[in-house]
Amino acid sequence: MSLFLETAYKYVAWFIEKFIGNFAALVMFLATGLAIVEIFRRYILGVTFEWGQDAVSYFMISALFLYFCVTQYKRSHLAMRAAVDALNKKGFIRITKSIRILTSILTIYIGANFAMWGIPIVERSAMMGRKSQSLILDIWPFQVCLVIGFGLMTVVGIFQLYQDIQSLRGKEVFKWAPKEEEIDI
Amino acid sequence: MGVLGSSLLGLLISGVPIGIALVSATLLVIYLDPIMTPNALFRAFFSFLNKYTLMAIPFFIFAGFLMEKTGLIKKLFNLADALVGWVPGGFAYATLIASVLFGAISGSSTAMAAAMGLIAYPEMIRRGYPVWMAAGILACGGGIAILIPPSVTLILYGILTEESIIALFMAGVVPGLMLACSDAAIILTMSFFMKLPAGEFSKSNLIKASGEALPALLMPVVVLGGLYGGFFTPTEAGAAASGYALLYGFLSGPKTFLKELIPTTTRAINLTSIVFFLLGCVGVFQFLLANKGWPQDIAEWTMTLGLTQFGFLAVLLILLLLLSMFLTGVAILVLTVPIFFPVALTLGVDPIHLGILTALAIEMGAVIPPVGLNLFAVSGTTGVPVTRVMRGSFPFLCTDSIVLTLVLNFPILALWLPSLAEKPIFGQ
Repeated sequence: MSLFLETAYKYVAWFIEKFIGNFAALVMFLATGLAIVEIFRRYILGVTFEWGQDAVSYFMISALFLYFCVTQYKRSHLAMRAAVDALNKKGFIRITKSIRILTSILTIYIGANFAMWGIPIVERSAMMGRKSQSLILDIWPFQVCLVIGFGLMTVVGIFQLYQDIQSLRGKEVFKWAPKEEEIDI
Repeated sequence: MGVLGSSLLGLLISGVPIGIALVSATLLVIYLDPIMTPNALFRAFFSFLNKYTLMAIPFFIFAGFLMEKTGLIKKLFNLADALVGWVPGGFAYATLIASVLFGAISGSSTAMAAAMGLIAYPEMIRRGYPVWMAAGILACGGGIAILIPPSVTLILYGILTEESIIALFMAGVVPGLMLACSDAAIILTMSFFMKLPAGEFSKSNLIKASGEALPALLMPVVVLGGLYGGFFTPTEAGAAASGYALLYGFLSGPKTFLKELIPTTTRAINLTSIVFFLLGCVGVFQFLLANKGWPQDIAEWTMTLGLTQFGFLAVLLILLLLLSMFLTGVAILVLTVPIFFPVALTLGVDPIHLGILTALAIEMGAVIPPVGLNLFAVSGTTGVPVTRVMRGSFPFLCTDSIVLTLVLNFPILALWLPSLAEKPIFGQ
């Protein structure tokens, strides 16, 4: 069981970090490129694409939606850790590990629910032919990206929950997986 | 409201990620309400993020990282050193000037503190500056970037409150320069008492450094000139900054730059994704607040307390400073602005003045322990223990609080530049 989960998480991690992560970074780069081209076209050539602003916004947020699962995998979502760190220093390791389990449960619950609530909204948008502000781009593909982002976040959360439970039991699994990432904003 | 507040506070203290805590507390309230259903939350999350104005954040973050990678910050620093490095304590002034110039490019306080830590710290130690002082200057100098436009903090405030980002940028200039001047006054005092070392003035060095820094100096001209000249929107200014940095990087060394481009883009998307996840969750939180009408209730309740504008702002600033001991600037903004902003408007507080005060409080919070991110950024890059960085930051923190008090008492310090922009230039 443990070996199976280890292998499964390795595949999931590879897919999320290498495939989704790089794909999202590429989309972000291209959206930036389009924004730069639009500035050039607007101020030098005096013309713009009607869908330009919409495309920049929607492709950028789609890249970020997809990347949510990578930040979840790296456990880098912003948190207030002062109290938890203080508990850790005082030796209340089991309490802090239990809190990590609570965090993983909440992440799974929220991720799964958002993905489920998103599916009928995507279906409705596709059926009704909902468009962006320029009335050119369909909205549903971008909503699908958010559903995928939350869905993959849930999958990662399940593995992290298993990791946290094992950690509370005194067993270390997924040693190769990233620990909490220090992010400065 | 009690359920929302207590559950949110409990989850935040437990170290649950802020976005998850916001959505969890929101869901709890919705489940307890017989009328509301949670299905609309997906749309609230999506709609809050698909705004073109928000795209300024990824663009400026990307531009800042690109500038760091292409070595433009080091060139700015060399110019500042050539300009003022020859006076007693000159290298410390140079660090401050470089912080202000880089602030006009990146907009990230901690990124700047970390970058300066790598560039300036070894040189300061080599020139004989005390360790604690060098680390303190780096930690506090970084904070200026929050006020010097383009500031990611002010962009976020503008988006959350639907205020003009350009007016906020203008309003940040005078307080930002006041911070730089007050920090310079501290260095002047220290150089008098501690006999800080001076470098040598070299005209040829100054000319060489100016030439090398020219591309970096042109960047604020393009970005801020475009913004204030009315050509660019903040988002376009961000895209122009990214485009400029990409072009410079490509021209200065295509092979190395292309090699660094993927890691830099990944770094930028990582940071942006964290901010956007949090913002999406704030969208969900605001959806609940708007549906329940709680900000108006809080505003009405505050009015019954008989608080004056000044009293409200003083209480708010104390609260923000307390929060900044535990939370990062972005987190403080997204958690508090949706609640205190309607109250401030009801009391007649100027929203632009409020934005600058909030940014100042967050700037000070970046060097207040235990969380003060700049303290840890400098400690991490220089290897100086956090306690010594705190010691070095203390005098600067004192002058920062004087600036905060001045801006609180004299709103004109923040509102003067935006008011100039509103006046017609040719008297029409």
